[in-house]
Amino acid sequence: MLKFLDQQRSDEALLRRCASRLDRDAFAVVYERHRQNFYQFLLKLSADPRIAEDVSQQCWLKLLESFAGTPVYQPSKHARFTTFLYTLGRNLYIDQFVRRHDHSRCQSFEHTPAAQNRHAEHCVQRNTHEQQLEQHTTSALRQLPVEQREVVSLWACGFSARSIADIAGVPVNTVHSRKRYAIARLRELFAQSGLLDSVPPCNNAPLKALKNAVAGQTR
Amino acid sequence: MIDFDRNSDDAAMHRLLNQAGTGPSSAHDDAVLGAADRLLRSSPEARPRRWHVPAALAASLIIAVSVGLPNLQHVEQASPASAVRAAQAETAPPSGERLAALPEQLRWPAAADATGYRVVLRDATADVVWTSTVLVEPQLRLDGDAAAAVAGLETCIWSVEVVGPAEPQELGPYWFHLAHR
Repeated sequence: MLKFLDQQRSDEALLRRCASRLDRDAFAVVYERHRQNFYQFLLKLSADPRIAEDVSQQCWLKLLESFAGTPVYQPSKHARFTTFLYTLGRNLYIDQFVRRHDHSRCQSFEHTPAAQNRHAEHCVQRNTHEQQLEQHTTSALRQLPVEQREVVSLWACGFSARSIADIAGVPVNTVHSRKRYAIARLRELFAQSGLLDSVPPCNNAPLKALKNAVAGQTR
Repeated sequence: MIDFDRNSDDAAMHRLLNQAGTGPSSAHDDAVLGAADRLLRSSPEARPRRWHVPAALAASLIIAVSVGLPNLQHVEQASPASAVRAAQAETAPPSGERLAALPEQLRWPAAADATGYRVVLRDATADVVWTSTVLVEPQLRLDGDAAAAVAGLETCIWSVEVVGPAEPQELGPYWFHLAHR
């Protein structure tokens, strides 16, 4: 019954219990809730599955280890847990894999053949339709500057423009313009790769609109 | 400026980006959950933070000195089971109890720094059926709307939000079954 109740509780309530009672089950519920979406965000942001796993693991371990002392996430001081977690992931990625490699944030370092090979290997190991889609999507995202990738990755995860602005530390108007440029570029890339044809028929109406928009641009 | 969330093309793109939805590898899960196993405890064993132990020892020492050291020989060692029983005794009805009729009131342990309490009543699926206003005393008289909300339930789960402390606190969840149903 307690585990069932845990699933109904907010992240903030569960993490308060982790901090006060070192409750493993409460943590497991939070982890299960966010592991996939958070990883997907980092995969879109980094366009490299190994980096996404590395940063995701670091974030979860940082959160866990902090329960022994002062928790890094404190509901009374911070915003919602999701905003906190994605900010932590975004900052770790920028600090460790963008700034440290001394690359211009507009010329992201993941364009290296090594990163592309890593992703291809990763997808060969999990060769399903879903993973092939993931590979196409990641390849397209890799063509974007990291600022645009950051915005579009958070948007794909369901964050509002206001929350994205908070996480990325930029004005809301900048979020809008970055997203507009990113989507325009992705449309071109998806049309070139034929990825638009792989969208299931359930998306018919919006897909037709998207295809028409792309056709209009390429005509 | 385009609408951030409602543009139909954007909606299609949103779906497209979200189709590729694999999670992290099992090695990632093993690393995180393995660390959780090392650093945390499962619910039944979930323990207070480590600093609670020295704090409890210091508090015990102060009480022992104030009561008088000669009385120490009469002090019985409190077992964890007796501590649980004591905590349950402060909660009425005791959590997990099967009752023949609706209890007249719910009672819970007073919390330090509390300026009030808000009681949340839920059904067996944890959906909220009733929420109290802020109460000053650590008890709720189960009548009126509250009784009506609970009367139709076989199992009532209740918890208490403590109002006042800087860090939000929640007591419970506690629950009782109504046996006559």
